[in-house]
Amino acid sequence: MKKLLIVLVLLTARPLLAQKYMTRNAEVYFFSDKDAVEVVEATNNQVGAVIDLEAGEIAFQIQMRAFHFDIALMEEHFNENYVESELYPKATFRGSFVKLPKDLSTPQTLTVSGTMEFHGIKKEIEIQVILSLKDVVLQGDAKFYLLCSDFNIDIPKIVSDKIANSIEVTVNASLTKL
Amino acid sequence: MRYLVIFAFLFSSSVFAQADLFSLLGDDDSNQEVSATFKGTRVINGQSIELPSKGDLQFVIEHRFGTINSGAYELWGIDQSQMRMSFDYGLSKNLAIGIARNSFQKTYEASVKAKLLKQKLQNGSPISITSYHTVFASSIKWALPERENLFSSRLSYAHQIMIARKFNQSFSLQLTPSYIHRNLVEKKNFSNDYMALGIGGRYKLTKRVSLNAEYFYQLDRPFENYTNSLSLGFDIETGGHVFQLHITNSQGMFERAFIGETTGKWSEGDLYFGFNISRVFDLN
Repeated sequence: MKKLLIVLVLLTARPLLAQKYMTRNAEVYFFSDKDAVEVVEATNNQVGAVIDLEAGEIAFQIQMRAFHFDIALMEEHFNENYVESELYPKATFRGSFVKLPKDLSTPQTLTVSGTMEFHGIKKEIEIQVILSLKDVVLQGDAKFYLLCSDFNIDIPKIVSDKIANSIEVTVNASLTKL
Repeated sequence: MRYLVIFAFLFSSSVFAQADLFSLLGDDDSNQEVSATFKGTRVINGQSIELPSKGDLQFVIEHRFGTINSGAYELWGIDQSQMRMSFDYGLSKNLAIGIARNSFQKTYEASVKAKLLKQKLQNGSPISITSYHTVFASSIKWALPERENLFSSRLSYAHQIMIARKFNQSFSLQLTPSYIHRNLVEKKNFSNDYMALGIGGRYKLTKRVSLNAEYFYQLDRPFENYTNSLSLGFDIETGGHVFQLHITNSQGMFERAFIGETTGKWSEGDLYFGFNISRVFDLN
């Protein structure tokens, strides 16, 4: 009987996890304008994101090849020479909300701390996220800076006056309830 | 036993949830195309499977100097040179057109290049295939102007299928079956058509420098004194430019010339130093 109960609890566990929100079309945009002549910028709008409000967990999965540049040659160099996207096809972030309020009907600025894995290197970071919940849509926006040198991304001296070490990253995600 | 129930309940709601986050997102990276099998649109003399990107105009200047064994008086060939310049434009992701002018026999070229198949990173085609078709028009003055000379006699054609595989980040290999047709040949018993098989490869020494090699084996030789084209060189990439520096036994820079009319012999040192410089202009 009790064994049956355990099985029953495990089976019915899934509906209890319904506080999850997900999207496959979050947008990540990065740019660097160290050199005003040549702006390095790209957008990826096929980013996967999951937020579990109950557990206060957040996860992002970014396909590097889905970053698109206006200049095709820049995109090729990004993939081949900088992020090496055939060796490291995706970047991930997994973290948790330091403190998650119950009421998200008005936008709240929250701190997320977690691990960014990018170009084969893991790094603990903290990000400020603006989170709001309207009906079944959870909206998350964030802006933060990453250092190429932290992730072992080599910028040759010859272009170091064009490409900044610090890259501004903007994230916009509309997640829907699962 | 009661604890077990409680444990199961806890397990199901929290630990389970964490493990689930990434599996919910799944893995949808399996069908990406490989990028940059070669750095440039040509391996050395011959074309590679790469095309200019859509809306990009690629300008290439090529030089082949005189033979290195011509000695110090000729500065080992630097005093003379043949040149070729070309403009190639990407009409779409899979189609490009080009025009070119060679100083060798004052030859004009018009070409079309199409990507037929693209290698995928995983699940999908293991190779890329591109086809290249070009027509050459020599504009050199007729040797015997008093004779009746037809414009069609100035024309020759090359058709190539390029089959390439990028084996890993560094190493790519390409096979290039080639067919050449000349409307006019030097002697009656010469064939108008001939075939060759090209093989070319690159090995990346660093992220921006690669070692390239290319060989065209003539399956049937139109004239005994012609040799097979063999070239060795480096690709050096700097931002918007690709510099290619090489040594080859072919002085001609278009397919009919280097596949069919190479005269230099590696064994005798009649080799040509040369370079290609390409610059991309984004017209989007």
